Amino acid sequence: MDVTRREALKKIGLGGLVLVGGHIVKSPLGLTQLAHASDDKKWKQFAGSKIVFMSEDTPPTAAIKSKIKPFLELTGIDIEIIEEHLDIVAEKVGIDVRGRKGAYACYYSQDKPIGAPFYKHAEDLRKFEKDPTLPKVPDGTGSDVWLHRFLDITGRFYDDPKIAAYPYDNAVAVMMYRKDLFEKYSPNFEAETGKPLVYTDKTTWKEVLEICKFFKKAKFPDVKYGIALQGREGWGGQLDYQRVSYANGMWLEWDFDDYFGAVNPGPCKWGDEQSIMTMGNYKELMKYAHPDSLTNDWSGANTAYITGLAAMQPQYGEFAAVVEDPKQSKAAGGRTVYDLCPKGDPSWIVGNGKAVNGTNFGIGGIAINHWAKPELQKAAYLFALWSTSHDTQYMVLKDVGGTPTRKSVFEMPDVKKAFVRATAPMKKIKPVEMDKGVMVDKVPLMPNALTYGPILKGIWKPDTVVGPKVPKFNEYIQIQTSEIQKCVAGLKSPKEACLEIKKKTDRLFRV
Amino acid sequence: MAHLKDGTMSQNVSPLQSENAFSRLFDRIKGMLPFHLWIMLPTIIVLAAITIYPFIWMIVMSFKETAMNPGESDIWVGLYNYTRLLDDEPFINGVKLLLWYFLLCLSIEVLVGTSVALLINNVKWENFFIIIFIMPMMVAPIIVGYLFRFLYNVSFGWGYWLLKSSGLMSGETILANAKPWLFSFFPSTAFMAVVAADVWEWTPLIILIVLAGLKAVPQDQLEAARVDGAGPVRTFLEVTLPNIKSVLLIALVVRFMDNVRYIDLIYVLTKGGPADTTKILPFYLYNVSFRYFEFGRGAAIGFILLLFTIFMGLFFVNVVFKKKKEVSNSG
Repeated sequence: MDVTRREALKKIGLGGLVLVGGHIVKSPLGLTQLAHASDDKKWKQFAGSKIVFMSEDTPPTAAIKSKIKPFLELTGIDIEIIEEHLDIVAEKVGIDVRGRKGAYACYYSQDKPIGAPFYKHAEDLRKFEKDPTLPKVPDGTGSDVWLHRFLDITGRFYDDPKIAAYPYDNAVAVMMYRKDLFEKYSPNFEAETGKPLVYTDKTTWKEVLEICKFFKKAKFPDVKYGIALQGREGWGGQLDYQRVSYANGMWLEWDFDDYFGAVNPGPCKWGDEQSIMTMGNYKELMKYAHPDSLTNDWSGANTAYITGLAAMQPQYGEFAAVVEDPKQSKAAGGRTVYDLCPKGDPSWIVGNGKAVNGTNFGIGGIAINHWAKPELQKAAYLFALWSTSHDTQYMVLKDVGGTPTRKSVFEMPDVKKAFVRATAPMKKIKPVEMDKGVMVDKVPLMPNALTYGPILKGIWKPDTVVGPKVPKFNEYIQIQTSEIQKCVAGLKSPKEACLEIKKKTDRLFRV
Repeated sequence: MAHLKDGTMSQNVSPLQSENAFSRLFDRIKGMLPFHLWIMLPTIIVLAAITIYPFIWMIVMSFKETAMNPGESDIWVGLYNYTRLLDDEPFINGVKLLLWYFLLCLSIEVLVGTSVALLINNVKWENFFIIIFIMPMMVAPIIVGYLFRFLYNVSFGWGYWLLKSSGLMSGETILANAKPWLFSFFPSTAFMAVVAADVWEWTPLIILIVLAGLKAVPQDQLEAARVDGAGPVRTFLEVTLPNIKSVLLIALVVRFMDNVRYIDLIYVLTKGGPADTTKILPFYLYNVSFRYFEFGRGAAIGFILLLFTIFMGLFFVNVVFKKKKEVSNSG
């Protein structure tokens, strides 16, 4: 093919531009500036507006609140960020949208407790994406820029093609355990069971139960219980139970695609043999877990773990920031290892079900309120774009301990290094005495990144479990967890509890 | 004669005559209601607007299944929201627990509150004791919830340690313990823990009210009892108690109404768990209305709760008035 001199120069020039552009795109702090410079007017068009963001009190929101200045400078939009416990967020958002007020122009939308019942009250984000008057962020907001199917999890519901929210933060469950205690008491464990005391990604829930029995019986001076669970009534309890039930035979309440959910899920599977067996095993786990496990949620379980009462906890990655803080945690200073949640055990599975590392999560999205005024919706969209952009997520991760959702953040070289404790960038702190003579003067710069190894493994099928996305999720989990609690407390047998859940759930969904 | 705009003539009305007519009209309107009701009328109108309208709306809503999403409309379901409560296990459980809650909280608070008031009445350090005792009442219920959550914590709770080491509690946990406390017919340990927090916070109110009542006990009656040789117990039963009965009943009404409304403690301490053993009816109502957003069902439960409150309130008020009548008749 003949190429003229002019064409060749044009191509070289374009190539140069691509290279320069590529360099800028790769430069971590250049991204937003580049986008902002070209879209300055689009970002500034709602200067002077005031919007309210109602959010769960998560580390990313705390960080964004403290680092909001760049957003104000970029847009001139005054934003009030309200942080509440998740239940309160669900309640306030529910009242706001049901009352058609639109007081919160944007809100935190956890996939199941807020997204599943209220997604119709969220504006379709595709509308803003198509709007030429609104800016774009460099990587865009398509499905492929987020972690595996995060956009489906937090933004898509049932058979509706609409995108109701962008993935804003991630809370994926991993197993956190005390390596120091495991090493110290391995000889004792081996003497008793003939096996070393270790935890790997192949460790099963049945083996975890064995470890729990060992710790509870031994009554060591520095740890009382093997595990801290989160059986509190509500979402905490539902997720806690689901980690065990899904791991053993990939059991789900319904057979629909759990990424999208179902409005009318049909008869549930509660009461089948697998559910009854798992209920009995969960009761056994609870028996040997930290005694407050039935009333603890994620925070309570973490307190038991960081105060040194429990040697393990299945916990969400964002808690690593607290676990690694020697001022608050006895599990800091390199004592904690993060791994996948336990696997199912063949003897705990009925029939030919598969054993997997049951990993579940709550992916928090940011949604735009359908009832807010159109110009405030657009202003809120700018905030949604900015807060989920690469630069903001990276900044939040480095500074306070965020939980990014964009793939590009996980691909940053320094973030990758932070996955592994040996290579993780550290920061100096004022020395803290953890035990007598044990001083800690350095902590990981990005503590949450220590959990990313297992998180990035666990978010794929078959290990991951998303659902159940059903409109009456909040009532369903009350039914489920209160019956589980009755069984654990000895007020009902596993079979009675499972059949009662079946009866009430089918009635709830009018089956 | 006065000229009207259309050019016709009308009869002349003197200013004095018109003033008289106006004054007659005013008198007639004024006579329609007694004076004290006229004074209260603006308040009644405002209150009616902010209470009666929502009340009527609540009743209407209780016959509907309210729409969840934009574009949907409410569905009229008649009495379904009421009839479904008949076999709604959490509702029935909530009613039972609410009755337990009244029984335990009110009886312990009245017993302890009255005893403490009698002990500190007219002692040298009375004011000091009052200040100390009313402190818990000054704390917001939600803070009390957090305080007790820490106290009951297995990891570091002083309250847990005390109960465990004194042998008052079996089992390894307080708030996660669904087993009955002490006797098998008693509610769960977790429930008793909630009652203890309520008693700690609100017994001071009873102390204050009873103390105020004790100040009004006629001294001549007390002296007469003393002269007649009555001991402290007899004096209390024959003289003090009859005099403070009305005050005690008012305290009971106030605490009863508080118990129907407050869910703060339970929200923070147990969230209704474990195993529904602390899910009293108001908490279930909160769940139905603001967690499941089933406003129709919530309205039905709320209406039943309201009827129950009115019934109990009337019962207490009747007891007070009956007592007053008896006193005035005997006087």
